[in-house]
Amino acid sequence: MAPNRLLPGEAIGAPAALGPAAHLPALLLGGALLAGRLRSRLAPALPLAGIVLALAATGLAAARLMEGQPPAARASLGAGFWLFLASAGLLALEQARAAGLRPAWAGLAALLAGVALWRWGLLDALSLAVEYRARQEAVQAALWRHLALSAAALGLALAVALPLGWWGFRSARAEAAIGAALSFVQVVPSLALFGLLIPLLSLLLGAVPALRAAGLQAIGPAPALIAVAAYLALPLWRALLGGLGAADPAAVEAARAMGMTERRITAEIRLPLGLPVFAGGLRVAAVQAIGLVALGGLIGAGGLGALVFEGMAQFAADLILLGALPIILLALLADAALRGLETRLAEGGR
Amino acid sequence: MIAFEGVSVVFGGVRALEGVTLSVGRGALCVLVGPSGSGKSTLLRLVNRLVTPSAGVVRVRGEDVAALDPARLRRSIGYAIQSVGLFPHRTVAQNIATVPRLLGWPRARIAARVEELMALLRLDPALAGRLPAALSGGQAQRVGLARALAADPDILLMDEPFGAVDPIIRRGLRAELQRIHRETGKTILLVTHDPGEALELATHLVVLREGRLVAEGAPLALTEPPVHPFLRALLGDGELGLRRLDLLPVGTAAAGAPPPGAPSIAASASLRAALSLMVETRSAALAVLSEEGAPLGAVTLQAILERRA
Ligand SMILES: Nc1ncnc2c1ncn2[C@@H]1O[C@H](COP(=O)(O)OP(=O)(O)O)[C@@H](O)[C@H]1O
Ligand SMILES: [Mg+2]
Repeated sequence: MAPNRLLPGEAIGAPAALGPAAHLPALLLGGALLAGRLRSRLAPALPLAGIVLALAATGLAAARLMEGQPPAARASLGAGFWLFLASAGLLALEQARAAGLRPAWAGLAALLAGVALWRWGLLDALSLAVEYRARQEAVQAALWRHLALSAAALGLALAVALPLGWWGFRSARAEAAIGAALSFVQVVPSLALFGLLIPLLSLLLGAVPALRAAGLQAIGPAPALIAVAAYLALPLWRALLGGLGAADPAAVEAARAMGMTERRITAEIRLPLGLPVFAGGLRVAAVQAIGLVALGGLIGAGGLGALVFEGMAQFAADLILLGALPIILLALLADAALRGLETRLAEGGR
Repeated sequence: MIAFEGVSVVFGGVRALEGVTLSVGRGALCVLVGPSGSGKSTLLRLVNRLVTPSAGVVRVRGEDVAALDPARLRRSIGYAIQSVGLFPHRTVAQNIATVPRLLGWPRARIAARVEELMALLRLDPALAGRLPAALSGGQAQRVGLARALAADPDILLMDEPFGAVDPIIRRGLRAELQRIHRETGKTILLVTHDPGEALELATHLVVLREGRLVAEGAPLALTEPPVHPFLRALLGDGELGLRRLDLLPVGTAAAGAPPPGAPSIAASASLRAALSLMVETRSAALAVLSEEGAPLGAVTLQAILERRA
């Protein structure tokens, strides 16, 4: 509870805000622990229900507290709430795993429940929602920009890693050299790389004015894209190399002895047998891209990272969360989707 | 059909073959034997250009292979290896169809050929749609053999093709190979490390040692005393006499009339089986019977001892 979005507020304990209902989520959590012992398939539903209930209850409590307060006042969620959310979430995932369900389903269920509460307006009085309403358009634009930047960086890294992967596969010396170069990039701290690219790019632009005419700038998305792609190149390259080498050598030898050309062996034997390995590398790279693009916010690339840094500059915790929560969600979603693809490919190859 | 003229192969610093000159006639079943690392696989792989000679010429059907397009040459030669190397993402039928597909056969012809080959190798038609992971070791070897035979090549290269299966299935596959060889008259080059298998299958036996050709010829001629000491050691010192008797059918040693009450043996059985029966029944003479059971004479212990090629 705070008079406005910047001043520190006074803490209000859960029982005071919620009344006896405050104990319900905790009870559900305890019940969930018990149910977990029983290995019921319904076990993950209890902590999930706890999360939904806690969200709804705090949302309603915040609405009651805010009645009659000036519009600048804010009701934010305390550390205890986040702690509860994290532990209940972990419990749900763990129980979903133990019950033989895909953990991604538990995550999806929680997400859908959260969205439903939001839609019904139950959370409207919480400071995060207030902050969101104030900046709705900026947040949505940042989200799309973040996605576009991540996809572009991934595409750029793929464009580099594909030929390098083939080259490294064909020649052991090239493999050693490329591996050393790409690993070196990983050692450079990411902020240093972002910083380094700005003067390098301005030098380049000074030397080749045609690039500036083409819309390239030394600050903003260009250095961010290049730096992120440089980091993604290593996992992608490794996965390509591993995938190309994944086929049973006897099968490759047989293909060659049957009279398949090298191109055909790659297209018909190496690539299909290497797809699960490629998909694994793509997943790692996609999750890294979403995380690394956030840092691009520091050098004016935009995206959700820019919101986080703006929030940090203003000491506005809600703004930080407004940037950080979607980043985490995006990374989790990308991970779950590509993991599904990976498993499907691996099963198809059996 | 296949000729090696003064062929040497060097891998890095390793001499795998040195000055090998050898000619394999059309329709021969040529078996390569020798200790591990003696260059058997290398000799085989020269034929379809998986290995390039550092010196000398390899001719296939009279043509220097160095002058031929490798992919086309390989499509005209069947190749089966111990590790089989079936494509794990393709069905049994697709695996068998590999070379016909590369040759651009029409789909209906490929389907008919796959069916024919599965019958030839006694593979259950229900396996056609399965992936290789669902096959037993013996079935996988048969599919590998069917794949090698698919485009009806006149030359077949086989590198320990029965290595990974148990002895009973191995015997079955061996008989299958002999039947295919008899029925189709293909020229077959086969590597094995089993001396019994080598003597049983070969019409032409080639002995290699440290990349050099030590001896070659028909198994009977090669086991005629005096036997090359290296071949003797390779075939198993204590078994040479018995292995030789294995190669000779009883019918070739039958003469005179058997004593009354002598145990009988088929004319197509080997002299080794005859000797075993003599030891078992403590009789120095056996009655030889034809396939139909007609008496053909007697085989005696003395006749076995005196038998020459
Ligand atoms: N591709 C290769 N690279 C290097 N050395 C090889 C290669 N193939 C075979 N060799 C060497 O050549 C020799 C003969 O090998 P190989 O023909 O496979 O023998 P075998 O089939 O009789 O066991 C061995 O010393 C082996 O190590
Ligand atoms: Mg070998």
